[in-house]
Amino acid sequence: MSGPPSAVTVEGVSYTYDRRELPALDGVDLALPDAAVTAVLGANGSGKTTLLNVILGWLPPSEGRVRVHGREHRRRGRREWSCQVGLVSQDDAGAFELELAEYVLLGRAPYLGLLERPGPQDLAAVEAVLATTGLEALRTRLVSSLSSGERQLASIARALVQNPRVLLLDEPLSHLDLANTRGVLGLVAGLRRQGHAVILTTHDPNVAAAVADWVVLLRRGRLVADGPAAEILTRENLSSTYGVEVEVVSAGGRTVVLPTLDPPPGGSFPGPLEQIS
Amino acid sequence: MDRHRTLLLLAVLVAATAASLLLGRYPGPVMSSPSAILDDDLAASLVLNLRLPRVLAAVLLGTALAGAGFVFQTLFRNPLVDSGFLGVSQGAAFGASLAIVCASGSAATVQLGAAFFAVLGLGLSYTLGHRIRFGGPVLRLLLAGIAVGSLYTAGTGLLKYLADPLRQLPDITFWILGGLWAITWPDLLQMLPVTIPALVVMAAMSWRLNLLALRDETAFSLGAAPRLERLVLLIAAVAATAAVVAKAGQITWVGLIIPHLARRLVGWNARLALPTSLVLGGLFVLLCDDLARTLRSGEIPLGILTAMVGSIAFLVLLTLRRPGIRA
Repeated sequence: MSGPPSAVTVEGVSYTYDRRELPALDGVDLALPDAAVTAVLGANGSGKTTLLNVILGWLPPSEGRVRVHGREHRRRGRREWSCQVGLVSQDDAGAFELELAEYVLLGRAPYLGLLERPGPQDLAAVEAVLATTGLEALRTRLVSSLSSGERQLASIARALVQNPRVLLLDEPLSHLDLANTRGVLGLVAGLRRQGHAVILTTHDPNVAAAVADWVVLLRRGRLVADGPAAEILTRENLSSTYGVEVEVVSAGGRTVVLPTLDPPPGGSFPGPLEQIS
Repeated sequence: MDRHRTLLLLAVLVAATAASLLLGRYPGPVMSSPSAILDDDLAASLVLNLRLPRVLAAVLLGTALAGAGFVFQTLFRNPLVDSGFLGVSQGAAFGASLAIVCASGSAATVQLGAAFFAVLGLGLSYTLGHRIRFGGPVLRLLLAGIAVGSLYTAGTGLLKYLADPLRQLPDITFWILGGLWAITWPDLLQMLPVTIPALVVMAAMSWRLNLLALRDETAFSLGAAPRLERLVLLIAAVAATAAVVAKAGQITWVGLIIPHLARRLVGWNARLALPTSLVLGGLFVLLCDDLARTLRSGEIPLGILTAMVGSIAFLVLLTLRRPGIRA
């Protein structure tokens, strides 16, 4: 890979869940750039979330290895690792009802010992992040009472307090309206400017077109292609990844991906049911 | 503000503990003055040797059950869980019944049997939970716990059926109803080595409990070892429960209702809600035990009172919902 140094390298990684025959990831090789936004694209069940969990170190690969800034997970202490890699998973605010500021404060856990409690500097870090994310006014609201967009911002604020060099976002824009989508994308762009590597999964190629510098395409656990967004978001690559014909058009200087509504001449293209059969 | 409520509750607990020492049927009919007790050697001896260990045991019992209930509810992300969902309470009842029917039925064998089968209940639930082939780890453990609990309940039913109806069956029934009438200093001292360290572990990890209520991978990403830390807290909660129910019998509803009350008072942050739950649990059982020993000339089993008061309080709590609190 040319360009900026790699934040994350994935070398020949496979992962198979217990009691499953087919691997969720199958021999994936990647070198993901630092200080950049990487979008991992693929249909449902393509292995996107598994890839994030393997990079996180939560799922140990069946084969291969993952390095973050040159070092493997098992070669670092748990707390040191979580200062390097953070995760915002889908709707991970928990079943119990914390106030927003209390929830964001959980991001300081990697900096605290097992029996240690947050101190003034941790509270100050929370205040700073609430100010930058515009969540100050919601600080005493219960997380469960927030809209899905506000909850997503809250989870990202928790990750900002954690301040990892590599931030993993699992489907950060699912179920968000346009205003919240804009807010989350703004935070992601801000993180890139600050030098963080952001790796997000999405099944929507338009999200990748809007924000990503680097794109990874997965299909059934295998790597289809990866590289700079402008080179990877092509009709051929995306049609191969999703199993449906797509059109890639340029509108106002931005790339837009649309599904083709008419079948191609001479036959039909495979549909979603065929993808997962 | 919320912290002040917890401190106020602690002050009430201390005052109630002191007042409970004056409460009883001797030397006065209900409440005696400190001077009346100090002037009467028999009364002083009664307070020192019987009432004081019983009052302290009531506080310890309530603290342990409420703390364990709080931990169970948080770890299982389910506010309707207590030790009964892991086969712990049912294991204690089975062990005590087994000791009464098949062994000598002495206090020592009953306590040993109750403690052993309570801990075995968690062990079985945990082991079987790993072998269930669907659902997440929390659901698997709960399902296994419910099955183990039912198995124990069936076993206790069988033992009651086989028990001598005049000699053994009343003992089983009375143990299952629960009470502190037989508590002495040695009993209290035997509870302490297990209960106190378990409570210290729970209290020390109270803020950490917030992390462990998150999804496993999120907790992991924040530097936690979710499975190991949950196991440590589960062992502490079960050990505390087993140590107190082995002496006091089945005291229901404390582990279920008190964590809810605590969250009502101070919010859901476990850093404050857990200590509040501990204090409130001690106060609740202390007051119930005061009623148990003074309402009638004979003893009312404590488990009946905690269930009665707890279930009514639970209904009131459910019908008086505060915005943002999910029961």
